[in-house]
Amino acid sequence: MYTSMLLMESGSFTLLAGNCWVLIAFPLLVAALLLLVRMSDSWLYSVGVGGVGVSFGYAVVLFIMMLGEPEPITVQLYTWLSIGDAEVTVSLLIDQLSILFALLVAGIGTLVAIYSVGYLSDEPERRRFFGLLNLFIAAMLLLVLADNYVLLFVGWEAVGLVSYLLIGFWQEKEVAANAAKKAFVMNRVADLGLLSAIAVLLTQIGTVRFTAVAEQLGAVGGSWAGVVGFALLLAACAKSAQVPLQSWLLDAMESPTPASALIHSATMVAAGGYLILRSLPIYMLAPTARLAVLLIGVLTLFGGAWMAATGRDIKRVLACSTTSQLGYLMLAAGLGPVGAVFAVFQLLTHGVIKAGLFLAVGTLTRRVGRSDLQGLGGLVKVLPYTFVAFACGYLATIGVPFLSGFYAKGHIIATAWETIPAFGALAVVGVGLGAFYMTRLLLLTFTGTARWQEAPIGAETSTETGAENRQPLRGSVSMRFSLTVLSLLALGGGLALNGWLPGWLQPVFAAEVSRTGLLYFDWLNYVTLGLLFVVVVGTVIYYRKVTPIWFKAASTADEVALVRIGAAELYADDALQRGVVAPLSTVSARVSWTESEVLENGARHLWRVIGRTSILMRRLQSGNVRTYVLLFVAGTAVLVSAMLLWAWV
Amino acid sequence: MVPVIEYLLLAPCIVTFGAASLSILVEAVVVRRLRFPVQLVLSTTAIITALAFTVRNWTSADARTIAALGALAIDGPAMAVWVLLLLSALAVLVLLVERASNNGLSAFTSQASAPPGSTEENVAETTRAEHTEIFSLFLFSLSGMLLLSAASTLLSAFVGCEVMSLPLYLLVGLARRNRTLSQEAALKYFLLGATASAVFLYGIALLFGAAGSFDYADIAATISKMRSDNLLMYAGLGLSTAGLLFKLGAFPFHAWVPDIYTGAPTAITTFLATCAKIAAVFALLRLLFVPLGALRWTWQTPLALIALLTIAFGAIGALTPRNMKRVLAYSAIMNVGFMLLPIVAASTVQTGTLVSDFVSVSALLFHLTVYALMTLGVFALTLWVGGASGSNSNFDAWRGLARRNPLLAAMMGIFMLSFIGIPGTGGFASKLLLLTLVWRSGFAWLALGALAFSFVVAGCYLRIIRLMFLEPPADLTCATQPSKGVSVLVSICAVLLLCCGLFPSQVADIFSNMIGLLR
Amino acid sequence: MIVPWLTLIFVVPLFGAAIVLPLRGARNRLAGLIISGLTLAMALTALLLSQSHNLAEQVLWLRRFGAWYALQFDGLSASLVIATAVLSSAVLAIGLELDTATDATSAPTMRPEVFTSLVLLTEALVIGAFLAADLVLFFLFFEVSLLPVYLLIGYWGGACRAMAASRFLMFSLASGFLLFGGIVGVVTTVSTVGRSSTLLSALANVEFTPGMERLLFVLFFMAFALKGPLVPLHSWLTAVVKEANPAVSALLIGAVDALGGYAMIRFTLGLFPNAALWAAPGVLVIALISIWYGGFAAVGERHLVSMASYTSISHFGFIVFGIFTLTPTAINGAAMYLVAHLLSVGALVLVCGVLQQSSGVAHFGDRRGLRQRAPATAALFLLVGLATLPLPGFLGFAAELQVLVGAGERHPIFALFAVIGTLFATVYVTWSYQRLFTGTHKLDMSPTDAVPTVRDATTIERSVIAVLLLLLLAFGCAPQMLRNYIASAEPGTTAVAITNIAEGGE
Repeated sequence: MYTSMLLMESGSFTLLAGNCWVLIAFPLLVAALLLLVRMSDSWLYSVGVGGVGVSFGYAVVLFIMMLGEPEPITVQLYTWLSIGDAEVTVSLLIDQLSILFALLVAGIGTLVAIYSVGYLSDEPERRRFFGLLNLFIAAMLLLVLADNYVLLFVGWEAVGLVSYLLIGFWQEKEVAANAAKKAFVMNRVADLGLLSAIAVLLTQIGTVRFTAVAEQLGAVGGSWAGVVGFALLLAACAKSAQVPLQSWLLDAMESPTPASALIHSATMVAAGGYLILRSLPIYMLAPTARLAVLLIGVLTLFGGAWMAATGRDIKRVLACSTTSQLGYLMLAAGLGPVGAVFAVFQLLTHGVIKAGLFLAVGTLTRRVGRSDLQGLGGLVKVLPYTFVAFACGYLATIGVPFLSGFYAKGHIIATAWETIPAFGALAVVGVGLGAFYMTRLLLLTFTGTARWQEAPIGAETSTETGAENRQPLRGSVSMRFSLTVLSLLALGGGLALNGWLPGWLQPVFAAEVSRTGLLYFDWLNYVTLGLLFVVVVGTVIYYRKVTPIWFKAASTADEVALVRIGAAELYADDALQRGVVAPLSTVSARVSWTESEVLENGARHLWRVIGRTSILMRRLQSGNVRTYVLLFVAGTAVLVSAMLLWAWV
Repeated sequence: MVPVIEYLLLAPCIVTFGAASLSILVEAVVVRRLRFPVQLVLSTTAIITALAFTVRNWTSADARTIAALGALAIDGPAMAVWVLLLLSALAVLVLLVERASNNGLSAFTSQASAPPGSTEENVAETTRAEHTEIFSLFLFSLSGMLLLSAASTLLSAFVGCEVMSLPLYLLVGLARRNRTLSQEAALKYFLLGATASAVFLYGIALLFGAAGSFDYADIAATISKMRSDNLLMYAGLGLSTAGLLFKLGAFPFHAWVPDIYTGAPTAITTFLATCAKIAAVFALLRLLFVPLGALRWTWQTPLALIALLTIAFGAIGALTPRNMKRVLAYSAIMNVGFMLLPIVAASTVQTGTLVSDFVSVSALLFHLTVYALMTLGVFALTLWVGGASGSNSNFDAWRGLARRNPLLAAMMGIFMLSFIGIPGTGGFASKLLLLTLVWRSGFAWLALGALAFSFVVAGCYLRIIRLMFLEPPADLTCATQPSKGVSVLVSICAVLLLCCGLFPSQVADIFSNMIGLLR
Repeated sequence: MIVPWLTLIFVVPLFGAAIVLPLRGARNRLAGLIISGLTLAMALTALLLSQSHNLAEQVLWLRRFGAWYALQFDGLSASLVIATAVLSSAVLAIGLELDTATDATSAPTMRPEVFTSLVLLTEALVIGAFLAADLVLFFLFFEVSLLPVYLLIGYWGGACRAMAASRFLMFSLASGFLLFGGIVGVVTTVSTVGRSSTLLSALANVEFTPGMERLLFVLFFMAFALKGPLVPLHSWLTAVVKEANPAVSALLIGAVDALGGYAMIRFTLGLFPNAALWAAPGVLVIALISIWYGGFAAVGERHLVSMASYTSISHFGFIVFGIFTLTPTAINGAAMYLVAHLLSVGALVLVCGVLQQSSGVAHFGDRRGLRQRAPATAALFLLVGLATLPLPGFLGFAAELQVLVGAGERHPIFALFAVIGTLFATVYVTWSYQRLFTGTHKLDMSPTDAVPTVRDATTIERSVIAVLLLLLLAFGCAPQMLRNYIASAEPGTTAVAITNIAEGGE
């Protein structure tokens, strides 16, 4: 507090905030440098990590200064485009919500960059990875700091593009290329929602700035708020991989694990939640849209948990758990201003925890060389340090008291119970499910007999799994550092945020929050903890007995229907395939057929017809005088009779 | 009282006719060796002096009278047409004497009387005998055309028509290469020509019966007074128009054009296509505007239909033939359709005088100039490129011309583009002028129909352009080197065509300072 | 002495075409590039000068029809002139080797020096058409510009290029004759009114009878829809592009087809506003069909460059959609989209050309995993693909947003369908990138193969495409200046007039 007061007097806050575009520009510059300019690898790491680190430092300084400064700053750079009478400007907004997100993005970005230094030490294309990492940070910061929907949309698409490039990082693998294409197409199709929302806003109220929209949208009658609400929800669902559109996130696990840690678990997928939080006033005006957000939240909560419970690959299970946690976030966001505060709480804590888990999984897969649960097990002895990091994340997620997960989910359950009791109960059941699949994951990976063999040293393939089976792990220092920081944050994060966050976000969401005590317990918490305890113990007993035989007879045919649906990720992928991709490709095949058959020789037919009449006509030129004279006389007769007729009529 | 003949005004006709008779005399008197050069000198000087006289008359503004006891209307348009005719005749003369393109032999047979393939023919060939009568026939036909285009009475029109046609029947039959074909064409032309003259004469008789006089002015006066139910008048109108339309080769009477054009030697085909058509269309214009102007309501729409059908038949016909001259024949038919458009576009004012005749006449003259340039240029090029194979000028001679002789291909390209009507060439300016005129007088469907068919025929012209520019040359023999005259003629035509296209106003002004048709 | 700047802009390449002919080899291409660069410089100086004083030139040409030799340099035509100059310089600079005749049977084609002069000639004539302020003068440039393109296609193309060239000329002549019919109609109505002038300024306030206006509107619209092309009349473009040399296709799709869009705004809308209002719903439906059909066909297309041509058809549909919503914003957007389309699709075709030249890949499926051997080409292909998407940040997005907002005011449902239509771009850009560049190299199995059949883009090719991309990006990030400049040409005012009628009418 004291430092912020000191800096405040010197008025440097306005100066620093004034050119906060450096936050975005610097990583962008570094990305350009790494991607385009040929330079030696010697100081690749320093430049790569430095780019992210500087923006993190800048964000921290800004945050500290903001502690004393309640007023949000809008930095107007230049007018982008005036459409009709609406004026769209390129301007950045530094307020309590956006600085928090900036911290989350830049912070985890830096940790992941440090981790990647070790993780990708022998990856030939690591320069491109660090370039793309910096590009992502720049794009995400643009999205988060944007002051209006259009700039947010630019950041939104740029982030989608970087996720496309990172998923398809190892392009030789056909699977990765397919996953990348699917992710990009699905995101862009869903971004139609954001684009049409922008169009509606520009046509109806002539402005796209968040603050202005909040005030003026109420004035415009009719169901425009509802339309905008649903449109934004569509875009948010895709970006945050909510149930109907989650299949791209599960395939996105093809990307390098640090990328998954940063993008597909902590920051980018949270952008959907951020969009809903930013346009909360719109949802307050449109109750139906808010209800839809709640429903989607609950649906995803259960869908994600269900898929995670039956997942076969460790990274896919974590991805499903991310979907489920984001379900919580949507649920909270839908509960109104009070819920929004706790949505941010959940978002921050989940980001940290999931990043930690993914990085742990990264070390694990690099050491073992494979990531499917069938091939893991018994890693406690082999990777003790990773186990500890993973355990911290595990405890935090399932909601062990006094850890960040407990507070985040506790508040959400309490607010849900107050507004809609049914959703509160469902949230509690969700916590139980979460506990089950996380414990299952922990047991299957770390305990039991080791179902993997030491990969022969020296097998040179550049794919991720191959690169991992080096002995011993070079560069593990940087990986350990990030893991420790993230584990500590996971454990202590909740405590730090619990008391302070509602007060901090008060100006943004104007929500009075009562329960902020650290040791706050009420009957709801007890119920959740009881359920938690029962589930954990039950899973441990169940798996202690079942794991050895379960994997051996792991043919899907005889499995329980429930498991089979879960394993197939709720058939979302097949539905997409059959419902959208198949008809599209048949129609385009039909079109290219018409193109080649109908139109191609359409013109030729026309020309042949004319040609044939010409030949027919030439037959008239028989060459003998008889026909000519006959034609001549007939012509004269017709002409004269025409004249007579004309005169007569 | 003593008949007053304005000799000065009639000088061009007198000169050409006199030269024609003189050339017969030369035929009889001059020794064989000298006959060709003498004939050549005689006909060139005749045409040039006639030209000089016409220009002098034209420049002296006062010389505008119905001359020769009312037989000829020497007025502005007539003189303009005469200038056009004489210039085209001069150009055709160049083609007549062209020898270099078919290795030193004249395009005409050495002894017309020898049956094809007979020994006499071989003897005539070896002794390099020459038919120099073509010059006198040519001059007779030319004087007939001058007469026809300025005719102010029905009879002088008929006489002019006959004097023009009869020598042409002969000239068509004199081709050196595949003589049987050209003799057959001549016979066909003669038979059809005779029928047409009969119909024309019958029309004139009926008109005389109805109006009581041959003179255009009197006919006009009687028609404006009489009631409209005089069937005789309409029958006469129909028949006389049919007669003249045959000379033009318009739709119902176009059947002869392709056969005769391919049969006749190229020089004569050019003569037929340019001068004969100019004289005939102008005679038709004068016939329909001056005496029969009041009957505009009767002949305007049928004539519009004929024009459209002519363009249609010309366009569709041109698409498939394999022979360059046949294609040009069909495009000539199409252009006749366009020539009829200004006549169709006549719009009378209550007073019965054709107010727009001035505009139609100048539009027609502009189009005729452009048409003459195009046709002369294209036929000269056919002569040049056809070379030894002058007669069977199928398309192989043209294949890959751009690689062999780029300048030649460029000039042929200009002519083809002008036929299509690409802006920047004369064809475009004349099409725009004609179609605006027609649309303004209410025949929108005719204008758009004409455009549609000119798009169809563009396909045929493109085939030729494609042959020249994009196809690889069949054999790399360079196009035979023609005599200087033909190459000069072709380049003049191309250059004039381009300036007609780029600066049409200046060209059109020449025709606009003459006053309208004399009554 | 007043310098006739506008005449100079198109005369420099015109005479340049002649000067370049005698030069040989590299000097020839260099000279061509210099002349094209000079044209660009002239256009830019004219742009600066036009801020201060009026550069319009007007000389009587055809007195009989009232046709003037009139040139103008307002926002709309200026931006397109500069874009054409840029694209032509790119086409000349990239210098794809010319005789890409895939089979040996075709005889040796024309000397490469002629290629440069023909490209300069096309550039001159297209620029002339953009500058023309008189209907007849525009028609002169519009028609004559077909001839050099005809020869370009005919000489440097694939196996049956002669057929493709004549097909191109036939369809373009069809559009020419339709326009000719329209002009004859305009000249007749104008000349009956007394003093006749086909100047655009004079034509704007000529009163047509409703029936005549509708007839002329249909003629003009059909002519420019054929040129564009819009869907029902587009089969010629894809067939021609399969045969033609990619550099020629870039010029054809970029500059020559932009004429159709430009003329749609300037003439069809400018001269016949009431008929435009009457025909708007029908045209919107055609435009939507064009967008969707272009998208579907592009997904199904196997040939690279004709896939790009389908993009251009889809974009043109979007431009026509923007124009015929008849709101000022949408028209400004459509005009800006025209510029974006010219650069982005031009760049896409050039990249396909580079790909075809460097690795002989003309169809999808010829080669896989090219990224391993040609990373730069892969990056360029992806970036240009994204520019045609259009991804936000590129110029296309600013224009698309304007059209969307403009259309949203009056036809919200149509606007939604239009935007959904443009989403196809995502599918075929990513899918084509995947089919070409990802996956392992199927043909020569080991990437370290001795014979480098696939080479990466050379520095020239990279820099040319990079310049086009930078332009798109720069104007994408700061489109305000371009928007104001195009708006200053008030193509929108006619729309405002129409919208007033529309408001009043509806």
